[in-house]
Amino acid sequence: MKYLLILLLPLFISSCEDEPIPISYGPPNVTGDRKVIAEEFTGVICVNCPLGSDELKSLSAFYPGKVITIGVHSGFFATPHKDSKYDFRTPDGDYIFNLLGPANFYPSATFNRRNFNGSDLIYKQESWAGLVQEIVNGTAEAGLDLQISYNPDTRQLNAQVSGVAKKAIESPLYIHLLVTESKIIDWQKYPNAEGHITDYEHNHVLRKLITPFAGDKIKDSFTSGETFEKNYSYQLPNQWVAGNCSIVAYVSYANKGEILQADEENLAD
Amino acid sequence: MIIRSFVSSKYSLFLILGLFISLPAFGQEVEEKGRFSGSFQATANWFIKDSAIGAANTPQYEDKKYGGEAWLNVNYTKGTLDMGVRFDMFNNSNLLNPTGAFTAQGIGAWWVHKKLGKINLSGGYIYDQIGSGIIYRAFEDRPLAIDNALYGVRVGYDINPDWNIKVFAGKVKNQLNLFNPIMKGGQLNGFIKGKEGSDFSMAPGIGFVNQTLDDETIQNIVASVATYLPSEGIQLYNNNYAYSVFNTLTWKGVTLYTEGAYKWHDVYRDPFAKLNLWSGEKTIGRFVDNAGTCFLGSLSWSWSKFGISLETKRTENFRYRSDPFATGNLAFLNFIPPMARQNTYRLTAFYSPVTQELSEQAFQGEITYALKKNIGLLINGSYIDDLKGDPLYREIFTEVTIKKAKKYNIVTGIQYQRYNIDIYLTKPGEPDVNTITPYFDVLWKIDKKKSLRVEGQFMFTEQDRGNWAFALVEYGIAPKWFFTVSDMLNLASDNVLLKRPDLKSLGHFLSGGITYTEKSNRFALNFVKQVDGIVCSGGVCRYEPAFSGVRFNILSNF
Repeated sequence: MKYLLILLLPLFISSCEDEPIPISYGPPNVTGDRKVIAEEFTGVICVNCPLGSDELKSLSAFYPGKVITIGVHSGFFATPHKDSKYDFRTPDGDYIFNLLGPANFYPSATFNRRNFNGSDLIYKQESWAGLVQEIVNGTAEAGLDLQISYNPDTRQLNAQVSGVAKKAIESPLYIHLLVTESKIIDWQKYPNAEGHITDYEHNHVLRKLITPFAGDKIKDSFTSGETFEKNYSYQLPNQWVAGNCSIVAYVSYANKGEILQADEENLAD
Repeated sequence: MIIRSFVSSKYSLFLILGLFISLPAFGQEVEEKGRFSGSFQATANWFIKDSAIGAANTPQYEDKKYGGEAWLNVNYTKGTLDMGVRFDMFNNSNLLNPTGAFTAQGIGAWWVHKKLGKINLSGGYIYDQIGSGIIYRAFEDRPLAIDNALYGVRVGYDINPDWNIKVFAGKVKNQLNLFNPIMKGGQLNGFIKGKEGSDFSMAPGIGFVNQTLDDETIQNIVASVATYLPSEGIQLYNNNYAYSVFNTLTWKGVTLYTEGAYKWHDVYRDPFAKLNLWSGEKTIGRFVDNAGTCFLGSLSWSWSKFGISLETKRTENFRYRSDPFATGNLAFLNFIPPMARQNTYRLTAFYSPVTQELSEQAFQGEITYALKKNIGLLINGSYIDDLKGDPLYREIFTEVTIKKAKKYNIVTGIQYQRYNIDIYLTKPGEPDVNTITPYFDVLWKIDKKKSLRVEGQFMFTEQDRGNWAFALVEYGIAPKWFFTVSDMLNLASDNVLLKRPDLKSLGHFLSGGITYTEKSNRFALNFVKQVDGIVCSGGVCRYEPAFSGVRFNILSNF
């Protein structure tokens, strides 16, 4: 009998008050100035990918102006369905997919290409909120500002990317400039009764890397307070709805190095 | 996120090995020689792209071309000391993730067990379970890439010949690393015999487990749930708990097993729970903190030529993981027994029900009857719903076995299934699959050495991918050689082809190979074309992508 009591002892202990961990709900008090580039690996035949997109949309609403999403359609689950009107895959997206991954699970994403756990750049949806929280509360090593102008008649886009090193940086930095398009209506696999949505709204679809795939090198090192500026021009293809396009700029270390800071402007604005 | 290197454990391995070897024996021990034993298992796959069957667009088919796994076990036993070590290797393996390539190698497990009188000591990677495994089971299942051994210590004590108690603590294995939360638990087992001459006996038991979350896991859960609307918040605790009480009652030819389990303060991800987002969108999938229950009952009895077994199970909110963020078959802490027959033929196992951890109520019954000494009859039925009463699975399986010693074995029967493909294979919107599958398996012993086995099934269905036919011929030359050829063919009706024109391009799934057995070593070389599907073991399933290529298997025991 005494052995039964010994085994029941944890039950009594656990019955004692085990206080819940306090959790603050509601809009956060963000302490940092860093923005987040979320490169989301997604695909039209990925049934759970819309839930990942919803999560990023929610995080964008939770941290207004802080989360910039880039939808990378590449890999197995980005293969167009027979009812798809468009193929969202691009050589630019395939480059990012192969550079950072490949992604072994969908949906998944990188966040400022930061390696949080010492081994991975790509993370499953369940951990996104914590990763975004960590980044937005951080201080950016560089400031970045994106200014754009667009001529709807010629479809000519001009972009000026300027920034400042907030501390001495001993590594080369690269500017990346790209175009995403939102509000594209097309087929998407979905966890509903029908198994898909015929008129699903695809947002933040990566259309084009304006800078070279590996980025545009600024210089090899920076002193604290040193500024930089680069200008770019690009003519939008006729197939894209300019008013639904966003221009994204970010500055990063070399290769698949971490993103220091980012900015985004919408052509509709 | 919660991965830790276990480099330092190599040093603790040698320390513990030295400790156990140097411990003096208790009482009288017969000096006996130590004995080495072990096993080696390896699979090597060469991938040949075949887009027509979907064997494409994964790293193995696109550029790697090769993938494989291997496990080498070496054990040493001497008296009451048992030690072992296992080397695991994964090369571009798609076992863990069917669309990925996993590469890692290292010490997958090591263990030391020592019995000192009434005390049983264990250290290293420990496989064990409490009761039937509902609240805790550490096990290895290589085809499913499951290995959740507890890396820690276990102490057992034999109170008397009928009662024993054990406690354990450690961290749960995650491939070649460890999950951070700490698991602790224990079990009290007993045996109660009826009076002298009585046929009555009982084997009661009680078990508990407690998981203490680490700071990093808590931080990530908090970061995730902090984005919920305040009205949808949860209670998160550092510790979660689970208890189970179980008993096996035996009386004459009747055996009754019952188990009840309760889990609380556990936060887990419910993939079906609705969530309102700050953006105003609604999504599904969120963390919840509901307490869980699981009840299991199994009754079997045999008399004369009959055997009957009845099982029932009710599961509610009993998902239990080392990592609340884990999906699929990762981070299992427990094992909930399946409530459907584990079918073995290709087409009768084509649609296998996955055990549902969050909502399931199930019944299974089986009757066997020995019509004659060499003729056996079997009928098995399964009935599984979720707790709302929505049907998940129905099965009626019949089998007739006819044997003539040294001449032939015949197994034949028919299976009916109704399978909720929306829930089990995440194909939302698709109707339940109804199948009727007659089958036969005939083994003809040509002479003392040669045998011929022919197996065939035909699955009739108007849902999913439609009808399938499967045939296999196996020629054996005992004791060393087997030659096998099989074919599987999709024969979907015109109705199905209208919805699934892609099925027209499937063609034959031809496979063939040779197996050679030399004493306790088995080598198999096969050319395989295999349709994609799920592979299940005990209700735990994984998606297996279509395979086209050459496969070489080795299994050796020494």
